[in-house]
Amino acid sequence: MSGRTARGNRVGLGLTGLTLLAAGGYALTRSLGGFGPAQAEQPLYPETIATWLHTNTWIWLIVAALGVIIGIIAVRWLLVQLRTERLHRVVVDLDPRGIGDLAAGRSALPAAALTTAVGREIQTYPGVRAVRSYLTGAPDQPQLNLNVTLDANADAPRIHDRIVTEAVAHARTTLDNPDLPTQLRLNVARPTRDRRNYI
Amino acid sequence: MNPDQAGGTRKLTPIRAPRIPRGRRVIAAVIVAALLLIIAVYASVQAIYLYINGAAWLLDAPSVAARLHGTSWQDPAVTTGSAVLTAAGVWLLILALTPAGKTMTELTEPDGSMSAGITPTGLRRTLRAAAERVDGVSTADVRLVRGVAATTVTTPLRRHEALPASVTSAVNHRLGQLNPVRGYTVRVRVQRKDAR
Repeated sequence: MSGRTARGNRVGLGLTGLTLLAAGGYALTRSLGGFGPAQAEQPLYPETIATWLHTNTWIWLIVAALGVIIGIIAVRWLLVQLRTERLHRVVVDLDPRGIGDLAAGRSALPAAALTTAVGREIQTYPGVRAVRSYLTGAPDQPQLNLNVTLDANADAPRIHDRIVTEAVAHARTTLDNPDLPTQLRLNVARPTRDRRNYI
Repeated sequence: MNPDQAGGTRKLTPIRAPRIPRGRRVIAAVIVAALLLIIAVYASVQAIYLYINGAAWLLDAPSVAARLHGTSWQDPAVTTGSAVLTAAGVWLLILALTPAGKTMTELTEPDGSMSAGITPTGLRRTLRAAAERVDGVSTADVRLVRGVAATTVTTPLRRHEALPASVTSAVNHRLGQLNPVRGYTVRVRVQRKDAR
């Protein structure tokens, strides 16, 4: 999932909340007599509206169209929850000066080739249980993401050092990007029960 | 080629460490989107039926209309329903406007283009493992609440006066190794429990 999805969720929830607040607030105010006792005593579905609906049936087409539009937005909202910003390829700059034409001296590399190599390297470190590695961002400005699961008593500082000085350093060399932004997320595996008795 | 010439030059943007992500309100978004979809589809189907047939689908429209006609705005059910709608609206607005909860504990990262974090469950597990490695501790449990690592250990030892200091030292050592940006105060509680 991406940062855009997080912003989209905020906007969607905010707009829905605002609509519910406006509709609910109006109904509550009217129900409690905020617009006067005569308004509060009115039926929810007065005869005038019923007559108008019977003579203007085109309104149902507008309701159906609105329903379809809201339905499409809702489906899209649900689908974007599955969206990721994972890169499938990454652009490697072969121009050592880094100032050349975008089209010249650049080559595309499958992202999986790099992330698999990084993941396999970290997996060999003692105390590492599992690794998930992927690239996000733009093909020419990628970000390396490492989700590393450690054993409960793993030597976390040593593993961290090795990740930075070995695995990430190798990825940076491969991409010719010494400042490759990297996000390391650590998790710890459920410890195996080792019941000891010291008495 | 002059790098400053227009077109096709590489942008030199400053490298920043990625931000540790926060929650994304996925559960609330999925629930609201699914409800909107159900309501929208139902409303569309009923509107098309009403336009074509002049009658609703699987619904006794005249009796519903009669019931609505007989219900006034000041009916207690209308007041309650409106209050529920208003409360739901306020809740969704609060959810949208307040920052989402943190999903990770940020760790100090000396590399300027790198960020590191540990999941709360992961942090709890590693601190618990550190406490359980202390001699005399049978089991340990760690809860992380507002900057406090509340550690409860059980021991079969009858004399366990030195145990809190040992556990505190072990948990602090593990925290020092991980080096979270926001420090934790370690509190230890010892429960005596005979070994089975």
